[in-house]
Amino acid sequence: MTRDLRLAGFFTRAVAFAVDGEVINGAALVFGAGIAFALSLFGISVSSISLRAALGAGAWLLAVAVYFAAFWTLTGQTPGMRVMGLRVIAPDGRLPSRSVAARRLLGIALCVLTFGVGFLLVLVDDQRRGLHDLVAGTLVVHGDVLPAPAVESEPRPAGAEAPSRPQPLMPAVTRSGTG
Amino acid sequence: MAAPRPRHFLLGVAATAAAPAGVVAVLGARAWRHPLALPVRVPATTLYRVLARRGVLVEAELEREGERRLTEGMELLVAAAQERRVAERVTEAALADGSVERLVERTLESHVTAAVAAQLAVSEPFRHVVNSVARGPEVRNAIQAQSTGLATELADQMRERTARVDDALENAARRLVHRRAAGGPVVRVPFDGAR
Repeated sequence: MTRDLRLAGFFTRAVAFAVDGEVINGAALVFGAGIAFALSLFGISVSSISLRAALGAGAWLLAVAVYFAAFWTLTGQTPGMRVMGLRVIAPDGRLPSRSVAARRLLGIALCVLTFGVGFLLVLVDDQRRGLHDLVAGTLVVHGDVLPAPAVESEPRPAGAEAPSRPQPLMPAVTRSGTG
Repeated sequence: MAAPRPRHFLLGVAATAAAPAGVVAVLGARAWRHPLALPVRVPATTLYRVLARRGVLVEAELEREGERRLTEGMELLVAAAQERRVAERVTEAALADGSVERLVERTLESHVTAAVAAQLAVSEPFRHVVNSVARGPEVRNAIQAQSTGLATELADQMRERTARVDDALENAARRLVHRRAAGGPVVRVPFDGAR
């Protein structure tokens, strides 16, 4: 069984990303305040501002990575994407696996390093893919349909045949009203 | 001296006329209880009792017969009423001339209704009933469904608008890079019916 899903565009994805940013930063603010309060109760203080900033940035990056990777692999959508009705799917139409999610995170890091140019690829790509999507081979689609779970690659026992490769995404990327 | 009222005058005339009849009745009762009247009184009393007993029996039979006929009559009446839709006609007639509405309006506008409603609103059993209803799962589900429906509608509208902005931005960007404008790409995705 197949379904035709509409690919998500730049602005919708940007709004979803902004919602996720608010969620992450709000949670980080509350969590950071709680940590600082707990440390002050025990009389622990980090005197160096640089060290504080490094610790905070590291914790924030870790939280962001866990946030996105967990939601992508579990449901294919972050809270922001759920608000906008979007979902990430892997090349085979399934939920992204952990490796695909890791590659997508790497792609997002590359987009940030290129000052957002990687994100702008969504505007001109035929399948509305950004640099992170090209790196991970993912697509972002409209729709509340939960794809099939990802097939995680596991170590094969000796002598076992290689598992069949997942079916590639249907090539029926169509455009209506081309002009 | 003021003249007597006509009503008092008539009462005096009636009392004067009834006095001889009372005297006759008292004398008759004394004669009936006299020992010389015993030969007449015993057979008369016996005959009266017998007649009374028979009369009671006859009365009971009449009562049963009356009930039977009354029941049959009521059944016939109800059947006729059902056949001719009397209740519906009465209801329609009452609603047609507006008398029921006027009655209801008068009832609602009356001070008694307002007082009863006020007392009912502050009464403990009424509050208990309201709290019980408010805590009911059906009510909570209905409120939740309504809230969810509103949020879903807002989200749908927002998605439609952002999708239009997507297309506009994409078309503008594609014009800049001299690529053909897109009209909403669609991808066919395998779906196993999970949700």
